[in-house]
Amino acid sequence: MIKKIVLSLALIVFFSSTSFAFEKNAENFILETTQNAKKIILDKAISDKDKRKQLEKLALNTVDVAGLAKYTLGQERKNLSDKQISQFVSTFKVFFSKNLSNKLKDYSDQEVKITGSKKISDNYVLVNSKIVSLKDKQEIAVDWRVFLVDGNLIIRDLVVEGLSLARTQREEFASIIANKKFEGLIQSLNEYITNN
Amino acid sequence: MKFLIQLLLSAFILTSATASFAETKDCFEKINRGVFSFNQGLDRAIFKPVAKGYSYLPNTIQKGVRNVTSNVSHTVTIPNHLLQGNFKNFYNDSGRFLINTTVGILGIFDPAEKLGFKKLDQEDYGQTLGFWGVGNGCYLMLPVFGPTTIRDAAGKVANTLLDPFYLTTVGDQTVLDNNFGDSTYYVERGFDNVDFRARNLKNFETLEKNSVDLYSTVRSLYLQKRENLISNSSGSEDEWKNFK
Repeated sequence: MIKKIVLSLALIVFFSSTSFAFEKNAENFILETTQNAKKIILDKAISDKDKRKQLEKLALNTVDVAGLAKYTLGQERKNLSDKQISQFVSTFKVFFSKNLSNKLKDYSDQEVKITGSKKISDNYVLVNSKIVSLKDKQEIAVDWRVFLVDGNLIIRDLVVEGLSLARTQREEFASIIANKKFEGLIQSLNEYITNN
Repeated sequence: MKFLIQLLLSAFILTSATASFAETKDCFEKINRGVFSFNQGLDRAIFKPVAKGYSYLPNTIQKGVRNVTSNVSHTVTIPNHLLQGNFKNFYNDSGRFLINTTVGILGIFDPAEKLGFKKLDQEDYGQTLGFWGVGNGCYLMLPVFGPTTIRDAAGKVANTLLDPFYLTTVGDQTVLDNNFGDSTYYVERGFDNVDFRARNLKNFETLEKNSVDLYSTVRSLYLQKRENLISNSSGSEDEWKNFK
């Protein structure tokens, strides 16, 4: 009986510490990623063009862009062939990296503070952070949806003040698909890529 | 006018009973997109330049303005806490309003925060209707006022007509035998909107630059924001759990 109790306690401690490690790893991953991004943005020795390239590379290494692409297709994904999905994923990758580096280059005077994390499932942690503007001390709550896929941590979504960027993108794409069909979406993304 | 009210009411009844946030329909999309373009023009010509000018004011002045408008908004928030049965927040915001209106000199300063009365999210009649289970109804883009839904548009009417601040300024009600006059109301509303626009100058620019379809981005952000305010949460997590 005592053996069973001790074993159960040991198992609880083991699993809770493993779970805690997952959350801590996710927090560190976000901290490291944001610090790396800031380092690139603030580096005066790098040209704007190279900054953009480095930010795009960082984004592609830390974000599950292919997963995000599929998510943003929403219900439409069921109606598309594998070929169309793979065409969309490759277009989305270029669109995403340009879009993200466009957004990031405007932010330089801000600091990211990790405020906590919550394990949602075995491979999914929500990391909470505050982005503090050094200029006016305004704080923005940003949550990061971090997943463990094939042993690697990856970001799938950013929730800024409760607003999910992935969901916003999905609803934006759904509207374009409803008005211009799938081909219209690809065309719109290509236009964005050409213009940016 | 009567036809418009009938049309809105029919759309409201047809869509509100079962509609969830995710299913909010854009029943008048063509008209909404037209109104959105009109609002964008208005923003470029008037609101953005005014907000830009305002953003050059010292931070302390902007903070004072924000404090005053935020304090005034309690006249709508407080009754809605009660209507949602949220007594803790009702006491909190009543305390904030009393302290900041008196000690904080009409709300310019926020001594209540230091006394433990936390700044909470604003509540309105649209949120209360949502809390009571009334669905969004169709999505609407109103001229000047911007994005809303049929339910929230009805809430906006109540936000004005049931607001003690409106009633004692534009209306003919009095407080201690005083009516504060129409201009007090419109100046406060003006400052509230200009302050909001000024705080979001950079965000709006980024949004404009990076959206493939700005209209639907704004719609999505508006509906998410309202969803979070009504459920008092910060976004849904469930749909990601099962994503493959």
